[in-house]
Amino acid sequence: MTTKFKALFSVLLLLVTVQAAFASGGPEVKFVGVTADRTDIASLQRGARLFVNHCLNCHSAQYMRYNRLLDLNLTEEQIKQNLMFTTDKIGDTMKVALNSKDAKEWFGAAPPDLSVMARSYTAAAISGSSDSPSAVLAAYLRGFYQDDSRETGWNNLVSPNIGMPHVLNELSGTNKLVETVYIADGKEMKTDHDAEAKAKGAFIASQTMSAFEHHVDKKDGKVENKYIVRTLVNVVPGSMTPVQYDVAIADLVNFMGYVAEPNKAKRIQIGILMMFLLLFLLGAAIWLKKEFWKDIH
Amino acid sequence: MSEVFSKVNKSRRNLVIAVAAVPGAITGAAVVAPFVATLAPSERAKAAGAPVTVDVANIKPGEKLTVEWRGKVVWVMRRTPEQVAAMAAIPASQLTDAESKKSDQPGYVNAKTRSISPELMVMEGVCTHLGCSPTSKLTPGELGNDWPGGFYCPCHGSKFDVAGRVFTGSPAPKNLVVPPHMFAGTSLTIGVGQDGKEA
Amino acid sequence: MASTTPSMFTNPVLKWVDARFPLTGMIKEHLTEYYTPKNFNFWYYFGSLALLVLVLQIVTGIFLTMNYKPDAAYAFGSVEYIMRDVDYGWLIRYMHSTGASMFFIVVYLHMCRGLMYGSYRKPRELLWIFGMLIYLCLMAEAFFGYLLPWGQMSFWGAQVIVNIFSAVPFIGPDLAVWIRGDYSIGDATLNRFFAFHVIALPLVLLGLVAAHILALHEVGSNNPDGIDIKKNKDPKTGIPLDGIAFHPYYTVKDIVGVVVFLMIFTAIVFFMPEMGGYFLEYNNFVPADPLKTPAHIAPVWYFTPYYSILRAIPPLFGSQFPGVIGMGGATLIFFALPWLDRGAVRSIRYRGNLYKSFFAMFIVCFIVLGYLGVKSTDVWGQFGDWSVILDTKERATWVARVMTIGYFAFFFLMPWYTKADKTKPEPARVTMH
Repeated sequence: MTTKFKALFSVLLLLVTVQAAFASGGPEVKFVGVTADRTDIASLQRGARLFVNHCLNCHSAQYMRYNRLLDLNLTEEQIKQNLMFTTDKIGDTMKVALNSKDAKEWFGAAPPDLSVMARSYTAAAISGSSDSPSAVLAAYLRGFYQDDSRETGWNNLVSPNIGMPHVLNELSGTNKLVETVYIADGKEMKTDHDAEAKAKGAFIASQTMSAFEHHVDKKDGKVENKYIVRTLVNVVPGSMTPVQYDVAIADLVNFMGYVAEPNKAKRIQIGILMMFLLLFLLGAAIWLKKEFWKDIH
Repeated sequence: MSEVFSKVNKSRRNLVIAVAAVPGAITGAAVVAPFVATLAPSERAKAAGAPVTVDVANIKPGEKLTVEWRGKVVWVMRRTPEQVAAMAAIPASQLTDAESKKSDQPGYVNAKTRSISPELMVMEGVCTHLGCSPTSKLTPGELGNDWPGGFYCPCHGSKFDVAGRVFTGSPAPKNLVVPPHMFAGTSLTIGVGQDGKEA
Repeated sequence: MASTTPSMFTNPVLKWVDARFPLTGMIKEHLTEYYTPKNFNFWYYFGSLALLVLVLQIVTGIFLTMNYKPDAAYAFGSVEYIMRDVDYGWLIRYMHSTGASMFFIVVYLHMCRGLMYGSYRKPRELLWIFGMLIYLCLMAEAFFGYLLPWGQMSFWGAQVIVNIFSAVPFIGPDLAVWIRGDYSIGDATLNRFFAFHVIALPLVLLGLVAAHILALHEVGSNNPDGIDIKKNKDPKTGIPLDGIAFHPYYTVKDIVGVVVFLMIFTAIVFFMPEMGGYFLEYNNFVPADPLKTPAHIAPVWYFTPYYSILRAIPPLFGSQFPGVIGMGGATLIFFALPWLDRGAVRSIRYRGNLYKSFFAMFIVCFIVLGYLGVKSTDVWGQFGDWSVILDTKERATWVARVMTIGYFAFFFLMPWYTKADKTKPEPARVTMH
């Protein structure tokens, strides 16, 4: 029995190490910013305000009812006055006035519904943060930069060439993309290894949203390794300071996480109670089993 | 096996079973509860059953407006002075529940006229017998010489006066139900009471 | 038999029933006088747990059906309706989605137990076959059910799996259209999958489970020693000396197993229902979009060993059919197990190192194939410079190929290695560890 388990264990260990050794990859995005706690009601309230003011113009959240927001310690009056712009019925869902046909013409695709967006967002892997969909969403919202080659005038570090413009531009100000390519030149960066180390160093040291990518070019049978670091640099300040904007995005993503699963807080509370109940039941069950198994020799 | 059982301390064993059954029963109840809860009206049903607001300014005396609230027929009627007088003249002996003691209506409506003001009536048009919707027979004499005017249920023949009070001899056990409602000027909201309580 | 057994109840109502229906007889036959080996270990919990999960899936399924709409326009929304608007609907849904994955975990462990202790061998061949039919039915049930939330993974997963049938020579493309009832996965597909998921397959599944249990109670349970307890009976009572009544002894023991299982189940349902994207995939929170394929499509984890085999087998003459045969063969070959095993003993406890090595290799292959099936084929990169032939080939694909060979070797070489294996003598009576 024990040897079998040992064998299994060593196999598992092997699997883990193999995976670590082989890990390689496409662009790696660094998330610089803060995250908000989903039990922070004030943060959720601020997020709700940002959401209805900036997102609901084009997106819907058609499965989310306004009266759900009572969860966030808001009164019906507060919800009606501050957060409801498209309806006067508190039991209604968050619909959008924008016609999806028009939207398709303007943005190339109809803006998706945001009800469960925070549970689905997995555009890229983010380092320096947990890989949860919310973290990716936050990185995406902070990843906009000015790009005149795009019809909307905007591009995104996390989801390149996405149709959505930077709607929070007013708050964040305008960012531009700075791209640095590191190639071994035989001088300062003697080998590919040096180039990679230097690029990685710059990537890690960056204080703003940035991405690192290893690109292989094949020219005339020769392989050229390029290490590209892209960073966002603020060129026009917005109405918020960078720190304030970080917090705002954290609040917004926090709220979107709440919208994606409004029952989460309740779910966890009930789960804890249920675990205690089952623990109690386990004790009773073991006691019962022992009592009966006294008969067996 | 029988000799094994004879050695067993039976009372102790029964005690263990009884004690273990307690958390077992609690867990069982905890599992059943959410399943039962799913059968209650959902948030969508509740939103669809939210209070309904109508303007009563344009209802002329004798006119009846039909409003749908929670899938039920609700009548909003402005009684004529004659109807109010005829209603008051009906002897209590002809009515099953003249003072509306056993019937369902909010505390803020008059027990006899079954309305907040004598003229404006708000009532569920649902027979308390088996749920058909009674028809209007408002002309006196329409159902026999002594008919003071009121409502008649075509399903089983229950008769009600213009206050929705059931006449004796009808299969319906109670007067027509008055839903919670409130007035703000000429605006009537059905589903929220004058006392601010939601149904 | 039933009419001759005196009623175990003094209750007059039950006496009345017993005169008309073999209630006491059935309770005796299947519970109080069904004698089970007393040396069951950890691995023997999974049979009763599978039954528990089946009941859980049926009950939660019934309640989900009350609010779900099998219509391409409403399906996704009705799931979110259940998750938000229906009181505790989220709990029922998470129980069902977690239950699906837990069903496979329990069944895989149950099957592993059968492999380890030779539970498929004579006289339990039919019992094993019923079990395998349950497993196939369960896979179909899971596949049909996975389309119902109508998310991106539902849609594209079904698209890929139905397209597997287009690889069948000659009739393939027509067959795929016929299965879908449309030229791509559509409303008709959703509707028929719903019918299969909620009524057709559950009926078959219940029948098979009944047959599985009846067959088990006919031949009696195997045990970790793999020996026959009916060889040593009490001369007076005729009860196996190593046998104990299923009820109360194994019912109270199984209750402990059930509670431990429920604790794990509860922890997943309440604290991590997505299970890191393996039980509920992130992409499935995006409504199905026939015009946009997700970057990476992987089936749910319980299908991935077979999916890996499908991907690993290279196409022949431009046809994917060999891969399809490989995948189908990998599931169906389990049926042949009773006739492939020529070992002198049933249980792994008394087998020699040869069998143990092959068994360990099989488990490793199964797990690695399962892991690779979740990932894209470039997960381990390319071989690169060190090999001239393989430099641009993906490592993972080749690992999967080796593992596929290992998987089949376990079965195809079984007649040889089980016979050549140096087994240890079996004990006369069961051993308690």
